[in-house]
Amino acid sequence: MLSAENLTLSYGNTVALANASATVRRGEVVALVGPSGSGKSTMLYCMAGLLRPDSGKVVLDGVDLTKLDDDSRSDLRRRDFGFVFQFAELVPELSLRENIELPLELNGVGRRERRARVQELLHELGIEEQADRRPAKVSGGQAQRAAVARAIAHRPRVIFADEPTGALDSQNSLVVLDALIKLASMDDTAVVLVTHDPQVADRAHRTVHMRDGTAGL
Amino acid sequence: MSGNARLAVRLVRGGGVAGIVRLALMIVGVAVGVAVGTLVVVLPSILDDRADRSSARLPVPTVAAGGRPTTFLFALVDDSWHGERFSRVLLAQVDAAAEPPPGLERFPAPGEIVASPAAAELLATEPGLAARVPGRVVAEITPAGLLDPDELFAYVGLTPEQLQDGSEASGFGVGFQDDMVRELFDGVPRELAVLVLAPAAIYLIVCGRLAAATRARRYAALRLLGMRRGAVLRVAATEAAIAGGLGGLLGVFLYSLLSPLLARNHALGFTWFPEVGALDALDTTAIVLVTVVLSGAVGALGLRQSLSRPLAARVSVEEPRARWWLLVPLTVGLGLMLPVIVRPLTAPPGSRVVYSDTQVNLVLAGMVLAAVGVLLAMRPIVAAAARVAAHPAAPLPLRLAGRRLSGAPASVLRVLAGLAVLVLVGGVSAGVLRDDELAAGPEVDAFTVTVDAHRAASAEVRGRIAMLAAEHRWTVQYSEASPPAGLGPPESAAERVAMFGLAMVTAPCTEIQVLIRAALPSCRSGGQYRLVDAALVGTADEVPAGVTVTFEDEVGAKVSYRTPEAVLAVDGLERSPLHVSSGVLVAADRPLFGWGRDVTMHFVVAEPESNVEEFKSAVLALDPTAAVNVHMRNLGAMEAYRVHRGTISTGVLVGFVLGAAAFVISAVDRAIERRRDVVSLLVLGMPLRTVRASQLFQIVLPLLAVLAMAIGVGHLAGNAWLQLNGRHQGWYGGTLTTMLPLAGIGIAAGLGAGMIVVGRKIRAEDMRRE
Repeated sequence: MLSAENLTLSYGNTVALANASATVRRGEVVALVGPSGSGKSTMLYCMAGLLRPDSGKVVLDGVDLTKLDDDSRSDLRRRDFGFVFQFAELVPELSLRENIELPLELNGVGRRERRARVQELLHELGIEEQADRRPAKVSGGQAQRAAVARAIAHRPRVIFADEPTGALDSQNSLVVLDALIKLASMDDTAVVLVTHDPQVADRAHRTVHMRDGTAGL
Repeated sequence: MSGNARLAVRLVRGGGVAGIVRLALMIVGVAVGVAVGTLVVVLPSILDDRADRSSARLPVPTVAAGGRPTTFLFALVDDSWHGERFSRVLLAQVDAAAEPPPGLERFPAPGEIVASPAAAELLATEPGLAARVPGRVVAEITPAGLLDPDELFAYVGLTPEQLQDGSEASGFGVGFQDDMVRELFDGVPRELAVLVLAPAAIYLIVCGRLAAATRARRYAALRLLGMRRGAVLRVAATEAAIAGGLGGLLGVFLYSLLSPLLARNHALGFTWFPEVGALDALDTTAIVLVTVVLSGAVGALGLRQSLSRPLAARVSVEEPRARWWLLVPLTVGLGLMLPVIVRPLTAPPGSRVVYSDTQVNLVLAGMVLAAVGVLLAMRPIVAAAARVAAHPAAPLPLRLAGRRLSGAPASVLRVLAGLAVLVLVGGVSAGVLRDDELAAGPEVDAFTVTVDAHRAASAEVRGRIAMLAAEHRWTVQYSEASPPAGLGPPESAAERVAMFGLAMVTAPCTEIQVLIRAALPSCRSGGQYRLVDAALVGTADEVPAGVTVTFEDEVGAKVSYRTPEAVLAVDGLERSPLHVSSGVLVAADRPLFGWGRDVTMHFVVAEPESNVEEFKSAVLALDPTAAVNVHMRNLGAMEAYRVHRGTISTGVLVGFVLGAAAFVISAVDRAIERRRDVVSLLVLGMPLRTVRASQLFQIVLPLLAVLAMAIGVGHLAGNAWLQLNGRHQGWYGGTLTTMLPLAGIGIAAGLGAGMIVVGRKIRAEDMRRE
C-alpha cells in the first residue's frame, strides 16, 4: 500500500538516508528500528510526506508523494494519515476531547458524528474522565493516549508513530502501544513506528532495521 | 575575557537565527530608546540655548546699564505675518561706538534692513509685508543672532529723528535668561518624555523579554547544573549588556540622523539650529556606558524567578483570572463625565453652560478614573472577547484564537495597554488642543484692530491712519490719571475718574449705533454725552457730570475738559467692541483735541483674516513704529498652541509607532515561541490559511476590543474637556479623526504581524522535543 523506494536525503554533508527502502501493507504494523542517528525518524517523515527526499519516491496506492505539492500533501495527511509523536504534541489550548475531535473537524465530519466517535475513543482508551481537561493538566500517559486517539479518530490509512512510548514508563508504554495496535487493526490501518525499544518492536508484525541511512529486513 | 563573559558571548552566538533576530530586535529596541531618550534629555539645553540667544540680542536700556552711555535708540515692534511672529527692532544710532547686535557685522544705518534669511525671503516676495518695514535689505542676520533658522526677525535702521520716542540703550545682551522665551517651551521636554519615553520603555521591555520563556529555561538549567546565582546573573547581565552597548552606539547614530531632521521640520512646533543638539565624543561615551550598565541591570533583574525557583521556570505559569470588579473604575469614571457630556445635548443651542468648581473637579476625576479604568478593564474585556470567540459553535480558527487568548499573558496586556493609553491620550489631547486653539484665536466674523501710533512722526500721520478703510472705526483717548493717594478704593465717582482717567470715545452716532447694536435716538452729530452701561447707572462707575479732567492735544499741550450733563445709557456697553464700560462719547469723526499721541485708534476689519494682514500693512506703511493689536488673536498663545500641538502630535505619533512596533515584535516573538504548536497543527493537515486565520484573530481580536474601548473613552473625555471650558459648541469630532488613524496603524501592524506564520515549513527538528 505504501512503499518508500531508494530514498536519499542529506542535511548538508550529513547523509541521513542512502537508498533506503521500506514498504507497509494495509493493516500491517512495521517497526523501524536502529541506533540513534541511523535515519529512522527521517525515513518515517519521508514516508509521511513531511520531508521531501533528495531522490527516490514514496508511493501510496500508486500516487508518488514526492511529486505532490504542499497543499496536496497537507490534504493527504489530513485525510489518510495519522501521527503520534514521542511527546503527545496536543494543541495546548484545547481539551483532550477537542484535540481528538480536531482531525474529524478538519475533515468536515458532522458534529454529532464527531462527538460519537470521540466518545468511543475516549472510552476505549480509558481517558473519559480527563476528556475536558487541557493537556497540561493530565499525565504524560493520558496525553499520549489522547494523541493515539487523535491519530486514529478519522480512520486514516496509515498511522506514523515516532517513538510513541519514548517518554513513558514501561506500564504506560504497553497500554499506549496495545491501544494503538488494537485500534489500528479494527480499521485495517497500517502503522509505521519508529522505536529503539525491543519490547515495542516485538509487537510489530515486521521489523525494518536501519543503519547509517540504509534499511534492511 | 572571564568565563562568564565567554559563556554569555557563546550563548548569544549559539542562538541560531532566532537568537540573532532576537539580538537584532533588542539592539534596535535599545537604539530607538536611546535616540528618543537622548532627544528628551538634550531638548532642555536646546531650549536654554534659545533663551540665551534671545537674551543676547535684547537691548540694554541705559537706565539699567550701570553708567554706560547711550549709544542708540530702539523700539520693539511685535508684529506677525499670517500668524507667524515677525519681530522687528527699530534702531537709531546716536553714537559711533554703538556695537552691532549679535549676528550683524555693523550697526544698521538709516534706511537699512538687516533681516533673518526667512524674513529677507518674505520681504522680497511679499510687497504687503515689505510695506511695513521701511528701507532695503542690505544683509542677513547670521545664525548667532537668531533663535532658529526659520525665525522672522529684522533690525531696521532709522534716524534718531524718526525714533524720537525710542528707548535709550547702551548695548545688547541682558545678563539674565529670557523667561518669556523659555516658558513658551517649558512643557515640551515633559510632554515628549511622557508621550514617547513611556512607550519606548514598553518597547525596550518587550525587546528585553523576547524569547523570555526560552531564556528563563536556559538560565534555570544552568542553575540546576550547579552554577552559582551570581555567575548566572553575570552571564545574563553580560548577554543583555552586549545588546545594550551595540544598541547604545546605534542609538547615538540614529539620534545624529533624527536630530537634524527634527530641528528643521517643525515636527515639534518649532525649529532649532542642528548643531545645538549635536553630541560630542564625551556625550556618546557616556550614553553608551549608561545603556551598557542599564541593559545589564535589566537583563539580570529579569531573572529573579529562574534563579530563585529554577524548577518553576521550566513550567508555564497560569495567568490570574480576570476579575469583573476591574470594570468598576471605568464605569464610575464614565458616570462622572456623563452629566457634562449629556448637557450640551439638552441645553438650548448657542447657550453656554457654566459649571461649578465641584462639577469641574468631579469631571476631571472622572476623566482620570476612566483612563485608569481602561487599563484595568483590559483583562476582563479581553477575557470576555476570548470567551465569545472560544464558544464551541464558533469556527475553528476563532475558537483556537479564543482559547489562546483566554490565558492572555500579562505581557500581551502590557503592550496593549501602551497602545490604548496612547490612543486615549491622542483623543484627550485633540480636545485640549482644540480648546487651546479656540482660546488663542476663536472663530470670528470680524476682527477688532487697535492701533497705538504714539511714536508716529506727526499728528497728521495718526490722522491718516485713522482714515484707513475699515468696516467701522472709533478712537479712544484717556485723560491724565493721578496716582492714588492711599491704598484704598476710590470713595466717589469723581475720585475714580481722577484716579483712573476718563475714556473719551469719538465716533459718529451712526458708527456707535452699529457697534453697540442699539438705536441711540438722542445722539446728535457733534454732541457730547456721558456714556455708561445701563447696568452701571447710579453706581460709582458712572462718570459724573461736571468733573474736570486733563487731556493732551496733538501738539502735546494740556487741555481741560468738563464732563457733560447729557447721558447715554447703553445696554451691554461693556460687552460691545468699544471695550469701555463708562466714559464720554464725542459724536464726531475727529477727536475733540486732535490726533494726540495718546489717541488709540480702533477699527473693525471684516473677515477673511488676510484683510487684517492688508490692514496692518497699510498702518505700518504709514507708521512703522505703530503697535497694531488684533483682538482675539493672541500671538503668544498661538505660538504656545503650535508648539503644544507639534509636541503632542509628534509625541503621540512617535509613541504610538513605538507602541505598535512593540506590539508587532511581541506578537512575532510569541509566534516564534509557538512554532512547535503550529507544526503540530500542520502535521495534522490543518490548512495554512486556518492557522493564519487563527493567529490573526488571536492578535486582532484583543487589539480591536482594547482600541474600541480607548477610542470610546478618549472621545468622551476629549469632549468632556471641551464642554467644561465651553469654548466649543456641540460635539467635537476631531478626537475621532486623531484616534482613528492611530488605531488604524495599530490594526494594520497587528494584521501584518498576524500574517507571519512561523513554522509553515515543517522541519524534522520541530517534530521532536528538546
